[in-house]
Amino acid sequence: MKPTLATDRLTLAYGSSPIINNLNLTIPKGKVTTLVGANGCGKSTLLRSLARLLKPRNGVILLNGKDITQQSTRKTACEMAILPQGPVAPEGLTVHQLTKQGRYPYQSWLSQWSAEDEEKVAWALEVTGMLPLKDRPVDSLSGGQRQRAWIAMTLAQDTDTLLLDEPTTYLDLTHQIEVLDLLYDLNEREGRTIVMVLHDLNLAARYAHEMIAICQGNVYSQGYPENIVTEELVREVFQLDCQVISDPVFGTPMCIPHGKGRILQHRKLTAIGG
Amino acid sequence: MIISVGLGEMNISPLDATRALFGIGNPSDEVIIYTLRLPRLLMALLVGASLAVSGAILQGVMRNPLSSPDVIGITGGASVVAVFLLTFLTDLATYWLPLASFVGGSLTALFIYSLAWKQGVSPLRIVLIGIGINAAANGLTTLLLILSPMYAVNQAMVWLTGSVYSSSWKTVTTFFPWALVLLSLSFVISRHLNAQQMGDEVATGIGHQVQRHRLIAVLVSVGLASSVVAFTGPIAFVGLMAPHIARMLTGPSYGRMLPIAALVGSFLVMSADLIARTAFSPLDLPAGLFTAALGAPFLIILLHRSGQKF
Repeated sequence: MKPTLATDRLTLAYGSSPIINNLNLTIPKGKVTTLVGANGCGKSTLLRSLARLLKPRNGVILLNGKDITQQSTRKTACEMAILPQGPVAPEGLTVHQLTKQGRYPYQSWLSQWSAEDEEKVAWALEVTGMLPLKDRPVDSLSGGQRQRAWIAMTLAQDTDTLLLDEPTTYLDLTHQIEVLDLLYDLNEREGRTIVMVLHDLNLAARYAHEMIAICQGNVYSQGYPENIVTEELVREVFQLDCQVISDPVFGTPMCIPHGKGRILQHRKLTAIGG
Repeated sequence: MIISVGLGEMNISPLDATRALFGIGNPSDEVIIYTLRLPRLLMALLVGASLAVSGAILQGVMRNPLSSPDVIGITGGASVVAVFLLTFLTDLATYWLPLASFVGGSLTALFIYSLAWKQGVSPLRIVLIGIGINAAANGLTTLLLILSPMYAVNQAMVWLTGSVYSSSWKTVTTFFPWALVLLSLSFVISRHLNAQQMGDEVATGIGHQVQRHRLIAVLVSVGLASSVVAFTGPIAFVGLMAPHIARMLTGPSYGRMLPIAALVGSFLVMSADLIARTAFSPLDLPAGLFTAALGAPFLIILLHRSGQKF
């Protein structure tokens, strides 16, 4: 398993308080990897540092074997695209104009807009299904369409690796599935490496080849979701009692949180304590 | 434009004005047009374009539709220096006013930028500090006006409103190279301005060197604003309004928006100056009085038409 991204004794901090301490991590190439964990566990911070949005306090981040702080940000942008959490497009910017921004790292004084740029943009609009909406302003789109427009921009960057920070936040279930299906297809058909932070543990388990559970700034466990998602993991990582069953449709692990709620008369849920 | 050179204290018909421009008209018309009105018109066009582009750059870099050189203190800083010169060092004012206000504007910008620096500058911090500095600068200007002799106050007030009335060929030729260099530079960096307005995170993601290009963009914008203030005083609202009007016509992409913003700015200042020197004739009022009066209704009409939510 070749790593696409790896960290070596990575320490991250905001101000003086360390969030992540001496972390060693490898993210496999050509797979879908999800980072999961409770709020404030450091998963978004970790993703932000992998995306070079946050400078490491200590240690290194390797992208395809090279230290990310040693190479130009433009070269990095040709190898790895990122989609931060809740990006906002300038008012009135069309989907087509947004997607064209993805070609920024390939342009310079000498080489302006090329046929290849045009081709990649058209392709990105096509696979995200945004072609019919390409002349609409991004701010006039629905949440799901908007997220697809942003993904189109990152795809136009034509990178092997794609990092996404909670790409499904604020989307309803239909649009969550739509976005995740799109990412799944990109991985299946093009072999692109996808790394994302996801809140929904069940969807994370279903779409990911590799899951990294983060707890208090450290990797609690990493591997196939079916191997690592257990009741114990959920209790340790999320401080939540639950029952883990196998998804009746997909067979992937599915977590049913304990807690309160209506219990229908004919059900017997012995596992719920209290 | 032809109407603008024609109208004035002596009205010249558009036809005669055109003939005078081509050197085949009545000699007295030619004198009026060539020595008085044409430089003033050219200055208005250049100043308008520079202010508009300066504002357009700032709004993109700050990701804030309300930022412009007059809001974040650049023109305010220039004004303090200029008013000080006009009221207390009257003898020096004639020659040193442009240079002094240019330096005042640039130093203020530098001051704001360094105060906002904390491992790079964030747009919001620049805007907030800029507004603070602007308020302080306005206070200082008022203080200077109160302390100064009556005859100087009037002159200072005219300067503070912004006017192209003293433009001669000399001002045009001094200002032209500045405007030309800085305006062309802003078109060259339009690709980076597009990246800037995407926000720091997205911009970094597409390989944009955020801090470096932010500094360059701010330098260009400050250079434009300060050089305008140096020659004409702070003509208000053009830097704020012209980019908005342009954006509604072309969308936010800088490649197309900047030239239109420049045209809108030119047109605004030219028309404002035309009104200023004809409407209350023989009084020759500062153009700055009318830029807002002209631009604001236009902006409101556009807002209503486009039905955009602000």
